[in-house]
Amino acid sequence: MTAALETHRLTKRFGKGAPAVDAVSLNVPRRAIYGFLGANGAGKTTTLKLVLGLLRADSGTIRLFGEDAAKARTSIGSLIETPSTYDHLTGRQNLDLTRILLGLPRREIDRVLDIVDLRGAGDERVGGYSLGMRQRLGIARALLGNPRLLILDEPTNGLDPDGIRDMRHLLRRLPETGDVTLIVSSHLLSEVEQVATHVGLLHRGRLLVESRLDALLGGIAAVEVDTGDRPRAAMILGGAGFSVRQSEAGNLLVDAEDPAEIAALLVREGQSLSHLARHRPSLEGIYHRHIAQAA
Amino acid sequence: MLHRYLIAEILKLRRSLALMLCVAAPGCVALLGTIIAFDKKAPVNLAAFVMTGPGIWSFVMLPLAITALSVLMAQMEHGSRNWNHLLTLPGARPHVFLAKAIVMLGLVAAMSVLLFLFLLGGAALLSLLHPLGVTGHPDYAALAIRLGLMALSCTLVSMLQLWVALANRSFVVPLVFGIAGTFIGIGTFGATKAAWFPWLLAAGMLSPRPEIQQLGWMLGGIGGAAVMAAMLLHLSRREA
Repeated sequence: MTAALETHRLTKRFGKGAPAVDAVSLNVPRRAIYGFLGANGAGKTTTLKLVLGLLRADSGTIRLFGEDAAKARTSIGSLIETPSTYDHLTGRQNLDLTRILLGLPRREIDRVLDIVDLRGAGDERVGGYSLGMRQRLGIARALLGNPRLLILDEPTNGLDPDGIRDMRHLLRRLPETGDVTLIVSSHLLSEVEQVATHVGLLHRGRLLVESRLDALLGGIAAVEVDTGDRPRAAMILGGAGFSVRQSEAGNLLVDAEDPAEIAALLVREGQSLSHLARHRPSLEGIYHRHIAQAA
Repeated sequence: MLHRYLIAEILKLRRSLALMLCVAAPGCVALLGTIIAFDKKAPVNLAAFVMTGPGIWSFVMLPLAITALSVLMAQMEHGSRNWNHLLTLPGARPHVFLAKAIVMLGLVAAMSVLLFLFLLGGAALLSLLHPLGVTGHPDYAALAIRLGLMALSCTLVSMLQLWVALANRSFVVPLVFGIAGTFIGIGTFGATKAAWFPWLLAAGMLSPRPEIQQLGWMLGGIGGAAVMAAMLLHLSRREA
């Protein structure tokens, strides 16, 4: 199956400095929720603007659903940087403008308002909306016409905890609305970790890693364990051929798949366990490891 | 596709400051003229009354209204970075800017029509209420033609102003550009080549010399079309 988005060595430079986007090759599978991660200034927005045709690439190619991007951009809905709204108009009137430009039937407005749960506020002026409501209106606008690829740039920016939770639920729901692929750029790694199926890590304009999220997180299975005598426990585990490190909490971190196997070994050797858990590496930890490697 | 962009541009004006300005600017001119006429301690000559409106209009209020209008229309898009949305939609980019230019020219024409109607209303009020009565018969046909030619001749300034406003995210640049143009026009009025100055083309319609009037609407119209074409070319190719 062709990818929803493929870029090949995409490069963009502003002025004479280092490239803002440096030979970035993305591969976003269809129906994925792709977390496009990186610190502020890493080049995420610039990359997305290149994909959307808002900026021209210095070199490299972009293909959408196997076609040249210039021809296939009609299948993209987007929310870039901040929600673009006309504050003096109501939410419904804002959507109506885009609906007219896309030549869509009027019922599309109710459909997208329902998806983002904004139907009740549709007739209120956008000037009175909270930031979370504006973000949802921006997403509703991006959803008009059932785009096959939805690009959301920092959709949780500036939201309060409730707004972030609502946005997370909305992002999880979106793929259920049809054959849609979602690219969500963010610097909030923990948020992306909760919704993404795939991730790409961008650092100083370069793509450091791109992978399925479960493969990235599952690739470093470990068991976190603590006993009354850590040095002795470490010796036992090391003697049994396990690699042992110290976790951030000070416990022993054992490179192993099965906590039961570790527990059985330690108990057999007379150790009393005070803590045993499967250690799930965080996306944040992986991100920082890759940044450190790149440096 | 252009018609969709035109409809969208017109719908954007609902409850907007731009639309309010289009009523307020000619309204102020007509109101000012009427108040001054009411204050006169002699019967009001209606023919003179209806011709004072175009004077204030063409020298000061029209160029300033065009400045403010261009800023308000452009800020609707700059303010919330609406370009990021508009320019990613399918459809030819020049249509986005062409629709804006057409609506801007339409609003300038609408302001001229409103000024005509407000002056008509002012003359009717004076006829009814001025304590010393009125004299003279206003030539409304001549007034309509004059205001129409003024609207045509300010096409050049409208397009220059819109170009500057759309190309600059800051509202200060087009504001300074427009105010400077207006006041340079006032300051240089009467100079030998002043009739060629874009901000004075509309005022040229008040000249008794037909060649000055012709220069005004021809340069304004043709120059405006040329500037519009250049603006479309520039803005459509620009990165957002």
